[in-house]
Amino acid sequence: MEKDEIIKKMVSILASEFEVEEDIITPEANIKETMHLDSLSLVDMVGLVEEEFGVEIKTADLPKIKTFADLYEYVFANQKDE
Amino acid sequence: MQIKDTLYKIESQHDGGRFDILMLDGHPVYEGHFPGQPITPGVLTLAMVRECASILVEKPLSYSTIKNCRFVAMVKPGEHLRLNLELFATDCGYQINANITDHDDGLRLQLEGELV
Amino acid sequence: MLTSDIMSLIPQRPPILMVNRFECGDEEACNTELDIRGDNMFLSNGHLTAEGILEHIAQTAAAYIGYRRKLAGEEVNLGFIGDIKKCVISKTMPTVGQTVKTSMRVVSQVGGITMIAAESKVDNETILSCRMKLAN
Repeated sequence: MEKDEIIKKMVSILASEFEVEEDIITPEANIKETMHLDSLSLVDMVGLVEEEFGVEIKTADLPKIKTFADLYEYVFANQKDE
Repeated sequence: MQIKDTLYKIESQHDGGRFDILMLDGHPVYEGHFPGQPITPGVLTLAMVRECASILVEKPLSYSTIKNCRFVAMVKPGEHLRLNLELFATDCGYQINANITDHDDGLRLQLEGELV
Repeated sequence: MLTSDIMSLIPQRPPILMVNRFECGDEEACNTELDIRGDNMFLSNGHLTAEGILEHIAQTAAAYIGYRRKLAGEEVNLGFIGDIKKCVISKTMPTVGQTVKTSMRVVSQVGGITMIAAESKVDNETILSCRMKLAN
């Protein structure tokens, strides 16, 4: 997937799953604060990324993913080639 | 599987779906959940919410969907809790929004679902 | 692995032991079965309630986690349901004498929280499906 496709799809599914407006999901925004994630809903986000993009966010990598830009980059870099 | 008066007691009931609840000691479930460390099973707090909803509408109810039920913090025997529940009648039953807090306003459970 | 020795995998004990058989291969998934007996604490008018099936599913997840922990040489811990989502329950609930068959797969795992997707069937009909998080 191209990066802008990833971004578009990610914004749409996150906004839907976490019931927030798409326009507050900006690249530099902090993921946890913007979507009010706690430890339970963080697992939902990781599950969603795995199911929708086929990318498993490893527990060790999770602390490095702070902003949406970090998330897009991680998914783009860890996509499996079809 | 009624658990009212064995697992919990309704100490008082107020208008607007508010119940003051005392979690009782001694229910047999605590022998197995867990041996030496009694913790109220989450599914039994779900059952407790359902029983209180049944009291409000004066008929037996069962869950048909659970959109989201968060077990935010443990419930244990001996605790005094407050249950707030709202029921909205639908074509087939009721939509339920409920939460359980303790007397320090600590959230224990939050539920959105449907009952029939 | 196929076992009826559930008490080696999970900390729950009677009267709330809600798994009779556990089967797990190499995948992040497992299957369990529950025989509904007359002394089950979750019966209402002879039918197993949704709460009973949800407890059975929670213990299915706990058995999977316990099994993986034991394989890794770790101890079996207490586990708690973190949340239940997207749960749909059939109008017809099973009765004493029937067997509930549940299949479960791990959707994601972050730190000590495991999210599973589970489906419980009786005589090949789905009676409940849900997503659940276990914290332990």
